[in-house]
Amino acid sequence: MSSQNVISIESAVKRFGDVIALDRVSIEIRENEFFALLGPSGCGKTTLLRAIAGFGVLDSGRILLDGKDLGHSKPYDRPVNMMFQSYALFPHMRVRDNIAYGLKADHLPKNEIEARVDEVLGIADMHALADRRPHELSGGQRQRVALARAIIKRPRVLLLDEPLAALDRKLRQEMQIELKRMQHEIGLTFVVVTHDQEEAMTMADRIAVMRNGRVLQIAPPQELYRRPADRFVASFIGTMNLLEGTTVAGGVTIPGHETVPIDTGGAGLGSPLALGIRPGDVRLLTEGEEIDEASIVLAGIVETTAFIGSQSHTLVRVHETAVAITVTASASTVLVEDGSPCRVALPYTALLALPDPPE
Amino acid sequence: MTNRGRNPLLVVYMGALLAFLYLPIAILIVLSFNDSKLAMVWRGFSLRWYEELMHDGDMLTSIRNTLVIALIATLISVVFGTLLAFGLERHTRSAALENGVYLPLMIPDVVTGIGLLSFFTAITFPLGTGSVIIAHSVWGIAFAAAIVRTRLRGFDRAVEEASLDLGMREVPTFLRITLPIIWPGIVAAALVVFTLSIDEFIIAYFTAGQTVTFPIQVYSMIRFGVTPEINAVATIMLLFSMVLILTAYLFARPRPGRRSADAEEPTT
Repeated sequence: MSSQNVISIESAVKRFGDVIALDRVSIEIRENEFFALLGPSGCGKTTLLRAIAGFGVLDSGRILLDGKDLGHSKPYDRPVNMMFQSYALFPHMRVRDNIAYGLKADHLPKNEIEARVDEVLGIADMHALADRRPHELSGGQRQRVALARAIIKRPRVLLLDEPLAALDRKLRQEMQIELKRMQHEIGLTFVVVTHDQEEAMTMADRIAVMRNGRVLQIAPPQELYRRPADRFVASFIGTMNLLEGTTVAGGVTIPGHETVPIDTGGAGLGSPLALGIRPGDVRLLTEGEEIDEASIVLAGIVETTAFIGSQSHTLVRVHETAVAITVTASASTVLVEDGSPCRVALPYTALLALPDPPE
Repeated sequence: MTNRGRNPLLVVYMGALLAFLYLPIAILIVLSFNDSKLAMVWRGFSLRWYEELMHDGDMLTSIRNTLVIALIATLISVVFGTLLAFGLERHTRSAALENGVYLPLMIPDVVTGIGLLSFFTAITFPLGTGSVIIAHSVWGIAFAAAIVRTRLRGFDRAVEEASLDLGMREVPTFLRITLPIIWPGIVAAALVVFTLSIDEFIIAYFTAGQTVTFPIQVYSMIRFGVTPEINAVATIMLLFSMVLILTAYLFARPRPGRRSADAEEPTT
């Protein structure tokens, strides 16, 4: 156990009746890290966050904070604080009293409470609204109060449950950057739960992708994107084109093509394995154009092309596999009309071997 | 909107309806200030019936009995009704249990009265103030549970968790967070139960034994004809009830502003 791990989750298991919410989850979270738990709803990410906070006892496994087993200790005995998805502001208290609440619970002297509330009001830029009640605030303001209230005790770890889900799109993007900046400024370890991969990719230093109570992969955003562990992670993080294949000696075959030499990561011979490629790595070939690189070349028909700013997304319906391939290219390059025949090239070097995720 | 299609017949009808509803009460109030023993003769303004009331020992005893009963029954009802509301809201999904709890509100008072009388007799419980307190608590608890329940329904339990998370233990969390948030519901429940208890006649009549409550006293007085003193009592009662009901209403209604604040607005 390395000393720089603030949180160590060791083989955590939690069941709700027949449903396994956490299935032998092990995660290490480092000091001052911005860590994201990412997955679709019901994947167990919120259960895990709540278990760290002390809500809901694990059926087995341990959660260690600074090397000490948190065991069955109560939420009020843990030096972690949580920002709730609904914000859970106390409706009968002013902003100032909401923020001071955690310090009052610790019976700190009055002048110290006032000084620290002032400081945090400054960080959250809420001085002008300190005497308002929660129902007199906008969504974004409430979010800032909830954050201020959760950081004032300087917790070892700040837990954030879908912190931006209640905000509208534009504000959400602003707050992603704002949260990141604040984390740097106050130097805290953040653990954030989100179902939004873009949000996780923007903010987090490392991400744990979860599904059906299991952790599929823990990696920094770039690595998750470039080397996803399986086809679920690959499709969840950004767009991924998938071709169904089979492992053979020395690589993977897809019907009608030569064996693609690729590391199959220990998958047994003859087992199904998908080949994945990001839309930006696919080349759309003009008529008669040849490609130097070793590639899988597929013939198909252009279905639609969408222009998004400087880029274009072209959807190609491939004849033989009946799959759609998305091609992203700079908008100025190839212009193909809908319905026209075309070919796409999938360079071997850009292909990823993607097994099925564990069930 | 002033004279658009205002039918004079409708105006007359409306006036008649209002008169039907409120004239008896208006007459009662006027007569309570009448300086005459006879209801039909106006002999001028006077407070003599109010004064007489103040010196009527039986009446004062009955009022005291009623207030004691109402206060204790309200206390019992609010404490147990609130606990019941928590239990129903948070610890069961049983529809049978839920309906079972509210049933006392639907049972006719006569039936409740007879039932309680038989019950008290069967267990040889002495009839008196104590038995009326228990009897009133029967529906008082149901009422209080129903009213507090409405307050609990919109309760975001995350606020309790936030309090625990911020370092407050369970009991202080209940006192500082849960109770203040549901407090308006509890106050409203107390006022409603209190108001219902002070003028409850039927159940009290069955279960009071030798104890005379205020409604029983009034009932026994009118058997010898309506005296203006009763008008004075009724007027005071009316005023008292209206103040209580109005207070309960002010506490129970949803706070203005809560709703509009849910709308998303840009931050500045």
